Amino acid sequence: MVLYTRPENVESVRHGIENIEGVEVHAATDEGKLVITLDHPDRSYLSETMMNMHNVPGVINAALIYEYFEESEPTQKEMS
Amino acid sequence: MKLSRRDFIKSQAAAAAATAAGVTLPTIAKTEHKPDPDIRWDKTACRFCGTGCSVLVGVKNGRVVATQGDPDAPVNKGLNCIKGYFLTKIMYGKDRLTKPLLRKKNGVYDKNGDFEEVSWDEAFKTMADKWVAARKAKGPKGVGMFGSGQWTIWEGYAASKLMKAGFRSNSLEPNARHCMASAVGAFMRAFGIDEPMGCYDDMELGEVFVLWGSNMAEMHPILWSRITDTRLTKPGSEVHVLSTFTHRSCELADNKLIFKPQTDLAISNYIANYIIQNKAYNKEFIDAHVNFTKTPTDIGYGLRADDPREKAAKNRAKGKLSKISFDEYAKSVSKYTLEYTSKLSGVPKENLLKLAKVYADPNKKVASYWTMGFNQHTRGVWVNGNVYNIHLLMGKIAEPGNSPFSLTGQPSACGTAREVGTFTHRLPADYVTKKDEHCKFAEKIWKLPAGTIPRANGKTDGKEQSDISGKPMGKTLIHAVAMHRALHDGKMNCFWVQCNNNLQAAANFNGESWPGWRNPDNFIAVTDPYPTVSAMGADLVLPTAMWAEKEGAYGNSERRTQFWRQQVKAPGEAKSDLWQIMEFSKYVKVADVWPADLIAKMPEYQDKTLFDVLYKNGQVDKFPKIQVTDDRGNKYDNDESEHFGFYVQKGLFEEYRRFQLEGKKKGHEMAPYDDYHRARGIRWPVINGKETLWRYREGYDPHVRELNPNVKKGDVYFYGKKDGKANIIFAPYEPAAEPPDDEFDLWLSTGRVLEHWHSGSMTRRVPELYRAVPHALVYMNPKDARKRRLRDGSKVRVISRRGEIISRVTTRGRNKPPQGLIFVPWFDAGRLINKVTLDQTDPLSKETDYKKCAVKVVKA
Repeated sequence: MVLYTRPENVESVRHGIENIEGVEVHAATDEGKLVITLDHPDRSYLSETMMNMHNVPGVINAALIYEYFEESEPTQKEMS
Repeated sequence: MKLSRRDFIKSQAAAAAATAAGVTLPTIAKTEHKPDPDIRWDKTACRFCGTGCSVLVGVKNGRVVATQGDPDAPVNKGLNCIKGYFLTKIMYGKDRLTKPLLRKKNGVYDKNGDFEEVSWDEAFKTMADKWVAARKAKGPKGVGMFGSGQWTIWEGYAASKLMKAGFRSNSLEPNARHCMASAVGAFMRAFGIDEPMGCYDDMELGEVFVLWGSNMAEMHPILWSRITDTRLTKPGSEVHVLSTFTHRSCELADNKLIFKPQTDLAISNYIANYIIQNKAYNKEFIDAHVNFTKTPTDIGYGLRADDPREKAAKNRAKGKLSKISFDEYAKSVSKYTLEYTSKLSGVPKENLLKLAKVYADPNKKVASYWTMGFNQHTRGVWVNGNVYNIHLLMGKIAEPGNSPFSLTGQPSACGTAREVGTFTHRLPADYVTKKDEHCKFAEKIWKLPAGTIPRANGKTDGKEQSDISGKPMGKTLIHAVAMHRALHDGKMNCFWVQCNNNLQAAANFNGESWPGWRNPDNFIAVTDPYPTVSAMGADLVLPTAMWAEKEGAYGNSERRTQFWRQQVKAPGEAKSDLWQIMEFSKYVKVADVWPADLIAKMPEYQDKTLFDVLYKNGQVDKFPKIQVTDDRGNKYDNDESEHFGFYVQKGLFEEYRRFQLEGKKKGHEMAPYDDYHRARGIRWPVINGKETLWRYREGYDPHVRELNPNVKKGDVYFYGKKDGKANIIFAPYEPAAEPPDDEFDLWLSTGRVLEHWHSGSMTRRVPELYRAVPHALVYMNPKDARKRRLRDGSKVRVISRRGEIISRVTTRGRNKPPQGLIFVPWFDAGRLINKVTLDQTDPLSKETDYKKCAVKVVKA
């Protein structure tokens, strides 16, 4: 996923999401963009975490880029 | 660097996201991605809003198993919004309709019976009997069809032929009437051609972005991410947001203007006045490219004729422009001073001034965006025009970054409803039923006798058109809101709704829609994938194939036409809207609905069905059925072609294209059918294989030099108007139809939320979206809540003069209304807010104003 925030809020948004289970922040730019992945075995947990990203204080916009899900290895789920 | 498969996939995901966001990731492993060979990937256009994102769909064993924002798509560049992410789940709701259902008692149709499964043959036989009888007894308005800006292009085109040529009725409307009609009206008045001159590229090339009555953050999230990106990365970029309440888009705003409902009319005139007072206007531009005009005032509110507000209106529904001078225009807007406008609108002076200054600064590029806040407005055509006035005064138009841009709500409100012209007054490619010669042009292309298509006034060559009813045609136009009134009054007896949920969507459910649908004289058919409010209110329910279950095409807000192939099969006996329109036409004979003197002009049509005349006409059936394949060798079904025996979609599209290529009107040209299956959409006009990004400007739009050979390099020419000039149209502030009073003391604005698409028929069947926002809440200011002894979560009744709903109050939600206004979304079938709303329309565009009526809120 890509999250957009005002530059002054990058750190507070990073702080706000880093502790959410399954979230990894890959980049956070001075301009206010954060590249994150969500990784969790439970698909509904993932969906709801993703849905809530745009409700994290300071997040102006949340866009989904890439999703992967595999039934045969039931504990794998990637989403970005 | 060795990676586990899991890490590898995660790194791929992060890389894709970083690329889409233009961010560099230092530590991404560069490995070959190994796609699952059993998944067939192909592009589709998203089923939801007017943005027109391209979404890649992965199909395995006949079922969609994966989606991805299309990285090759210029619109969304690999991004996807939340609704788009769950897009494919809309097809797999547990209650999909798979068989036609007819209300029956004792084995026969009965309006008061229960739904029973019937065959398609029985469904269409029953329906054809009713339609032929109503058409004969009641004339052209006896039957009606209500389609959609979510129809594919060929569905709209086939419907237009069925109604206008087949049934000889102009009672065809799309739900886009509730959505974009005001935008269309303003385009036609100012420029003479529908749809925006600019394109989405302005979101990167622009500097200042102004939202007038649009919550893009929730309603066009991908476009909002593009604007957000520019705002965050481009020095000097600013965002201004005008709204009647604070919403998510305001979070990016450098200037937030919360105004009292209806005063956008005053604010837009104030900006024009500011530009003139400060002599900031572009004199050279307006001398060369603009005519000044004014519009009649005091035009009513599109209510029934006996409403006191209509009786009081001096110029009810009048819109004929009269020319004025620049000085007269300047004098007309001079009333809108900073002082007056601030007081009327409630917007602080410094915010108004800040907005006026960016428009008036010749060195600032400004793009203006609007959607339903402007269109669903009893003065919608006026207020759309007021923003064109500002751009035209400054010459900030039709070039990169300077762009007044009407955003579309639905995925093909432009491509289908507007371009194909599925409105009562329209024909394909901006031709209209008001003009005899336009109808004759359509009749020639459609191989019909002259005089087949009903003229707006019922006359051809100055003579009355004859009709199967035995009476003259008479006036034939009937708009969406008038259709519900006609059903209520028993003047229209058959109504076919496709691809929308009009019983939930139309205003004044209790007063007009419901009594109209359940009127014992009326037969209502609804084509739907799910048992929606409309389906349950109907007499015949026809199960449909959705989105990727058929070959389709949409046209988005920026004139981009996009195609997709059929990805999967529809469940059970569900058939696409296109199949239904064409198959139904086999059940009606020409002689059932055309008078003898018309048939006498083409006696070979005497014993034909409407199908033979409309679709098996040697043109639509010209292209043989083929195995659809992509350039990678993948194979796809095409169930319509399979059934009818020819390439239906291609035949319809190529016949439609003749309207763009063979007529007098320039500027609507599209590319040949097959080109679209190869491209990520192409923006019309398409000239010599090239799309057009900015219309009306030399250097970007080839029509300019062709139609005005003496044009200066880089200059504009508004070729939609005979003299090449656009209209600045003075339109004043006038009050709303139903402002709050002592009893009904709050404004009600309805609207949407990010998680749901319109009436929720699809998105409420996606568990994640349903759980995120299960019900429509009443967004209220905390002070208004306290005054009524309400708390966050209190159960309340929202009451108007027409009806009420029960819901719960939220004072801490994402929408934060000022005191005196509540916001209620309309997606919730369990809380039908349109029981409360007023069926007021813009008298010019006939579009409903869902944003302003008076209500009270009391504890339930």
